[in-house]
Amino acid sequence: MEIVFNAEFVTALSLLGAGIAMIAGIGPGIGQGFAAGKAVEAVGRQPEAIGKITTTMLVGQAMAETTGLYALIIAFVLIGQ
Amino acid sequence: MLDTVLDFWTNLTAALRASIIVTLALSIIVVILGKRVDRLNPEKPIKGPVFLVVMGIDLLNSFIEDFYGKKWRTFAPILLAFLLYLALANTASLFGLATPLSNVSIALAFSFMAFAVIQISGVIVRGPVKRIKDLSSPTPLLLPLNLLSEVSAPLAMGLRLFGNLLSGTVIGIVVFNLLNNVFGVLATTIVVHPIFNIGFGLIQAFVYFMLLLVFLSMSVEESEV
Repeated sequence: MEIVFNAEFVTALSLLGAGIAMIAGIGPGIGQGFAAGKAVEAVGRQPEAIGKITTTMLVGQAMAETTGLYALIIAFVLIGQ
Repeated sequence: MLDTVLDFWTNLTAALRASIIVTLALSIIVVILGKRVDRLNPEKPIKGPVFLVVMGIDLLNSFIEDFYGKKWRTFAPILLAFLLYLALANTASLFGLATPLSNVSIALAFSFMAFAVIQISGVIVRGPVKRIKDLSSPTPLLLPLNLLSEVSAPLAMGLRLFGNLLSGTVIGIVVFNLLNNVFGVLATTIVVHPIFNIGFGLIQAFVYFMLLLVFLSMSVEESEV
């Protein structure tokens, strides 16, 4: 079986690269889960501050999501190739 | 004449058309509300939507004043402008428009605007010499790294908005096409659209506003000597 370097080869490899790029989804999953766990712990310690804790947690989650989004953008660019 | 304008209008992409409509709508609403606030009588109590506007601006001003100290009046207008545009643009799909920020040029324009606002404010408020001294603040060896972080932080702000909005649009399209019947319509409008477009869109608008606030306050603060 010989490899022919034509346009379909490029498409196949870019789709493979898009799949490998989404391995970066592990990072935000672990980080945001950890942050949510700490937020739940803080609510358990002081239940009347739940409003501020939720707001702070949401802002923190939105920041931590960034690297996952970078991977998603790279995956979209590669799929479009 | 009219058909060149119509030709131009229909040849733009959907996101650019939505952006122009959002900007126009926001300008008209803000001018009308501003004129109503102008005509208020300080003696009488306020009623109606003007009351909400005054309360909201008061809340925002006190929030910004916590970060900036004395000079908050210079910076509050542009921060509020960003917040209003982003809040209205990310929920534009409620009115049948495409979300403007799912287009990469608009998202990169936002990151360029953040970069320009931070740099120009830093140079005007601190003066060029002191600004360079701020950038090389612990040691001058860190100057390249500080410059790099000045570029990459606004870029990350713009790309965060783009990624969130684009993924919302793509997931909506995928879910709608996968279930080709009434369940597809229900799942898209009840589950995907409120969570991704409205929920994440408003959160990301708030995050952009907070990040711009913090970076701008860091670049114009007077260092305590």
